[in-house]
Amino acid sequence: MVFSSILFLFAYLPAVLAAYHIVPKGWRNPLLFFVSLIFYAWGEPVYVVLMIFTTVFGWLTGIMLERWGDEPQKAKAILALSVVVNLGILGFFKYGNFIVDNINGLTGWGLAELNLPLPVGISFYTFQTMSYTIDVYRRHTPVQPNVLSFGAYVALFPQLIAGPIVRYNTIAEQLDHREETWELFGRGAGLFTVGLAKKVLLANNIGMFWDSIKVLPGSEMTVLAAWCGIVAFGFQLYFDFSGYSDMAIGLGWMLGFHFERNFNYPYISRSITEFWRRWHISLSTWFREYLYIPLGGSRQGKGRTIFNLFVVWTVTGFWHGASWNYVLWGLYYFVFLIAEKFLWGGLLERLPKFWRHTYTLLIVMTGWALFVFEDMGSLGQFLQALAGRAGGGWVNRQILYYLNSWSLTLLAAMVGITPLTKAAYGRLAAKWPGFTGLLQPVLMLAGLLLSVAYLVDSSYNPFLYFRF
Amino acid sequence: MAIETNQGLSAESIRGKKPAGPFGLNAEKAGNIAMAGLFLLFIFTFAIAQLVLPDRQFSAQENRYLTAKPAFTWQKLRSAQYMSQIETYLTDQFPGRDNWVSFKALAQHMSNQKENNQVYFAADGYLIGKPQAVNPDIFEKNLQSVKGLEEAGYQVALLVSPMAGQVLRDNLPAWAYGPEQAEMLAQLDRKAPELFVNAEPYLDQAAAAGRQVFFRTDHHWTMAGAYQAYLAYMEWLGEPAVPMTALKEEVVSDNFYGTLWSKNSLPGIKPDSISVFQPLDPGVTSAGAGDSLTPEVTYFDGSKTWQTDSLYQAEFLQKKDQYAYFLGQNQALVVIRRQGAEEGNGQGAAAEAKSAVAGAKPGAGADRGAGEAGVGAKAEAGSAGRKLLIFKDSYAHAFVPFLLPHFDEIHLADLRYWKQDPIAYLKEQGIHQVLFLYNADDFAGDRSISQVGAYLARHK
Repeated sequence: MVFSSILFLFAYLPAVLAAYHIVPKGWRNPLLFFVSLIFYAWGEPVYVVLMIFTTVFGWLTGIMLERWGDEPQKAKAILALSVVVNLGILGFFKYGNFIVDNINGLTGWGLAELNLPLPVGISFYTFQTMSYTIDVYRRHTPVQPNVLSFGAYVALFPQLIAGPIVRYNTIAEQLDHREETWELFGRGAGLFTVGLAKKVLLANNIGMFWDSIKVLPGSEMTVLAAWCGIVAFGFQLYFDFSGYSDMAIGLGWMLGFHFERNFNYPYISRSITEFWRRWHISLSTWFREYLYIPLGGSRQGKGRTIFNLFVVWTVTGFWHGASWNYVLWGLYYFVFLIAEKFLWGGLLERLPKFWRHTYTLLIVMTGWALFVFEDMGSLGQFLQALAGRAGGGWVNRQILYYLNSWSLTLLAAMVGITPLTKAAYGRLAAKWPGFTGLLQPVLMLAGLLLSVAYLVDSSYNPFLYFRF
Repeated sequence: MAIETNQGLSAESIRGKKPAGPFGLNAEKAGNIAMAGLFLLFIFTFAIAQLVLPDRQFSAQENRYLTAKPAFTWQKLRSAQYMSQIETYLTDQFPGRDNWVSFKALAQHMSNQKENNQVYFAADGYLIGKPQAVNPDIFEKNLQSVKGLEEAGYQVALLVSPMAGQVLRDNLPAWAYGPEQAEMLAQLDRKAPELFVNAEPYLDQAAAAGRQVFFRTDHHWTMAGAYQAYLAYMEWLGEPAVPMTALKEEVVSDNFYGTLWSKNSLPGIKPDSISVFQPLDPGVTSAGAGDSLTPEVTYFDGSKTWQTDSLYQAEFLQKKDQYAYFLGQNQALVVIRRQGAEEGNGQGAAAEAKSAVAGAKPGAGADRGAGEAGVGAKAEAGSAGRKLLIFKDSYAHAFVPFLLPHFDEIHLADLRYWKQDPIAYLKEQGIHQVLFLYNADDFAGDRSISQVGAYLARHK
């Protein structure tokens, strides 16, 4: 199930909210676990079994660590078991086909493909369960004795299928002691609506722009179209993904949870290093906490740091999808991050702001081409178009039509990637708090009405994370 | 716990400045509580309305059947098919759906979008469909079918009509016009110059003269537009056309919202009116005096047959799909006979009278050179009477009435629904004259036309 659907907004969510506030407090976690399983089962019912297994297994490792945590050998073995099982599940379901294909390609053995549908959100929940076991092992977090509460954490529907990746230690306390207030609910409703509008009004519409450019035959591709197209894809992914995170965080507030923020205006960054501090923060944090730092981080010399970063970025790329282009995309960032760390980081800081923004956006947008084309042939062709060698020349009628037709949407997107509206709103609220107090519900209603209209008459509402 | 968000509404940034208002509420807190109430009111109102309100079967505005509540089976649950059906069902039956759809069209329009659901917002209150991409493979196969039939000895004409996006290109939004349709028609002219009936100059001219040749809300041509195509066909046949002055125009509807409006229901678009053109003097036909123009129309939908005595079906003017006023909806086969013209081998008096008048040599492959042919030189006026088979889409429906004075029998075959052997049918019915009449989208994308070629190959 996805949030941006009539089903979620007008059937699932009202039913869950009503039940949640009717049942006694002690039943809330079991209820959340149960309704989250329904949410999960909606797309692929069979995989509920997998979800339940992951939950019970994760919970058991915690219980076992509590019992044998004082014996380093056993504790290590339990930890290793957890990591192996979780990565095994991920490897089997997500990377099985990819591995078989590559083995076949190298050896010509002709192994049969698995062709399993990817369990939705698997990359998110296996990472969450691992974070729990690792944190218990490190004694960063207490053990969760109740399997249903633990289930509520693993399967929690707001963040189940597209993140943010909630590390257990950030909500351990809230699982058992959280406070729901109307004020928090209202803020959650507002943030949810913002996320919904980002997804339905901006991401989906801009996605149509990109989709019509993506399919242009080589002879009709123009340089302008290639650049506008890849920028549009960058917009689509940002508004889709950050919109989804906003909806998740907003739903969390409605239920009394506080998730950490996942995006912080990444496109205003002035370096690639900064971009990755602002983009998909929960993923970078996860890799830093559970991979980069355990490997030694940057404290064991230059060579080791470079190696550690190489590992982290190869894995980060691969996490985004079982295809070589994602690995390439990860390595692309590895190169720029290393370069900023050891080569031109100092120089960059002395450049005027304008050039630092230009530098960052140029690299990030070109990077999206690596991200979006899984087939190296089309990628090569598209990169050539970006570099000024397009079959259709620099500009043609079609791209002018699209730019004209999407002008206001793109303009809204350009404003939306900056904190301008937020700053303006903050100033307004400081000056006339009564006015913004009134404006807030009105804006929310407008956002809801428009989003629902676009959902009711929708021919285009993609789910972008089916490869994650 | 200060949680930063990506947006402005939460107003986290202004925390710390909280002037207390009435009842100890500050404005921010009151705004948040108002949002909570409003949000719940919104989702629960529609959730309950959805449960309580009865389901609709058909959306007149969108001109389609809405998804009904899916039946539950464990099998469908396991494969998640049930869930996706539920999603479509809820979206289709959403309370006030028509208003939401119109509201979205309005929002698209207001946001400077030039299209909604593949339909352009065009000038002068027109909605114009985006042309379908030409599928070169289908196009080529279709053209080979047409040529193949001609090579098999039939007299074949190919009338592919440009659509509103081509003829009314000045009404399109800036940079929207693409030359694809013009190129396709030029290609037909190049590859099959003998067969191709080019209606575009006629339509262009009439449109330039202020005639409404396409509906503003529907993808069809108007009967006035069809008349222009009729002129082109008559020129190709080398026959005099019934002049506009011999026809009277009658407006039969002024509240027609067509298929384009169904996709793009922009509020404020005015409905179309439907005009029909009838001969002033029903007695005047090319076949000679005394012959009646009253048709006898036999419909065959693939399983059952029924008859009417009119080319027009007034009951459709009360329904959504008012274009079906012309010859009803698409059927597999429609046969139009002028009353008095005998069925079968045409032994009737009318047919004999006609053959005496025309006196032209029967048979296929009559000279089709423009200019050389006099009246009736191309006419298939054998003892069997003049018969025409039209392979067609719905564009033919507004066009066929003009042919009535020229043919004793007109057979309309819609290859999308008609699964008979067309070659055997032509032989059996003694028909030598064939017209392919399609709009550009269909000729460039409808696979069914190539069935003719497939059957031809079988008969070789």
